[in-house]
Amino acid sequence: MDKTEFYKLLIRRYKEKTATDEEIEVFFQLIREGKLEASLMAEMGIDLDEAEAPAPRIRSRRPYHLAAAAMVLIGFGIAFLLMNHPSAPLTESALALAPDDVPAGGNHATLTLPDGSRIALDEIGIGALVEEAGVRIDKTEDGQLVYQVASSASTGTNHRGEPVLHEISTPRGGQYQVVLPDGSRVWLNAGSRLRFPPVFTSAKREVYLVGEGYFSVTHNNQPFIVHTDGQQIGVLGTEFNVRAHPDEPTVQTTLVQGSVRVDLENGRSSYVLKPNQQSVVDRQAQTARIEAVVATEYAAWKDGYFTFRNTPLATVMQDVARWYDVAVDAGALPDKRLYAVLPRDVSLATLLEMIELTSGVQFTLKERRVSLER
Amino acid sequence: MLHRISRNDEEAFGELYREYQPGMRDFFMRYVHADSLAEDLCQELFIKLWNNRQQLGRIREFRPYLHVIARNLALNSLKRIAVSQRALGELLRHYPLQQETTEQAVADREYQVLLDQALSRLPRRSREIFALCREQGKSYDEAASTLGISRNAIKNHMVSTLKVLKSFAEKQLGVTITLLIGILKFLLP
Repeated sequence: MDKTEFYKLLIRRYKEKTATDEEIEVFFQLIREGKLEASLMAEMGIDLDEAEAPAPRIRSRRPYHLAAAAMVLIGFGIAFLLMNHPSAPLTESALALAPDDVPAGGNHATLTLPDGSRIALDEIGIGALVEEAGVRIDKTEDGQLVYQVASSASTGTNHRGEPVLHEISTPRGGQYQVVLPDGSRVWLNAGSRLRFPPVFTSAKREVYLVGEGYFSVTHNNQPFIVHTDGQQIGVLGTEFNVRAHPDEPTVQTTLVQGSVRVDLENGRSSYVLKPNQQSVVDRQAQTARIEAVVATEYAAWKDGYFTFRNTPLATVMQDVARWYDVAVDAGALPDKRLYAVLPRDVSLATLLEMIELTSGVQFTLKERRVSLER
Repeated sequence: MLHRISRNDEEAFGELYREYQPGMRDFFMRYVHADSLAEDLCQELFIKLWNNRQQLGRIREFRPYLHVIARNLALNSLKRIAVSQRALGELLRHYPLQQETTEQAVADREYQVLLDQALSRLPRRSREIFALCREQGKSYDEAASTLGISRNAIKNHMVSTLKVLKSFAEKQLGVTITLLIGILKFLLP
């Protein structure tokens, strides 16, 4: 039984009122730790899809009866397929989308090996991918890549003794998870790149990040260093989120648990973060400020939702553009701020409707471009 | 119907309410267990729908739209309950105490192992809060103030919506009595 299954069973028992006090305690503790979001959303999705549903008598406002009848038939077809694959998540992407709508992003990434060969990870099946120089790379489930040291002969260096680096990169609209050879996990958000050695042989575990990643670093005595443009982060074992997109002026490091040290590139300043603190480093000016935040909100993307807390609409739309791989007319956006928790697994039109609800701004979506409605 | 609602048709909104309220209430009940909390979520849901009625006319598929709102409300409510002693107390008052027998225990050994692991990691403070809630279930009024669903977050919406809903309630009395009671609960000191 893995964690996901445990969470699912726990949620079911909580719902059916068969959970003991101890189970309820654990249930709410996991919610506080932000670990139950994904499972809860999935379970709620199932409940809602099953709920009541005497076909609502809502008339279509356009008289496309034939099209509607066809859609019903297609709908039954999809429902039938889904019933036969109970594990398939019931998301809107499974349903037919309106013409200009855009489906949510998914597990897409490319692995680039030191010899320059590239592997599109979503095109290959689950199983062993490569075994070279004593390192074994597996795709263990959809969206996850695992590195394991298979033999002590692995050196992680080339024939000249130089360290080699692998690179995993996600396109816009993609995300992926890597388990590094030391057991540390990295979740890569859309439009991001991580370079790392297939084996950590030197005194430090050093990786290089462009874009956004969530790190869960296993504790050992080799310091773990995350290099980004403008700063580097040093840790021993801990969980944190790093956001370092080249098209944003700052690098944000948000600590969920443990302790990390952020060193600016100029070598003059460094900061030690405590849990629920965030450093915002201005790449150019090489200045930093530390803020108190709810750290799990900055990691929510890896569990399948966007969290915005007093977030400028421009930043919101940047995240949206990256996850749906669309363009946004950013210049026209009003100076508004948003408070919202929104799912990342819905189609773009649905998400925009939710943002319209909270912001009062009206969008138009056409040919993968989001603009303001005038 | 959605089109009519988007043109301020209260009767159509009443139809929508009758059609979906029971299902939504059942859904919320499964996650918050206490009537009062589920009612609150239901009201928040329908107030959101009414306040954003202009957009209803442009929505292609109503149910996914409704479900996204309901799911977010339920999820956020659980998060607030998790950090509010009073709200947790309210929930627990409606959650049956399990007998200390192992009959109901999950047969799966691995489940027990994972559960024990999680239990051993529970901070002392949260165990204390839990014990308090279980022993002295707090009242809903107390819970409401901590929950923040009620007064602060949506009071403004409530006030602006009240007028409309009142006249709507007169026409659709049977439907909205709970809705009205709920609103009065917020507005009365």
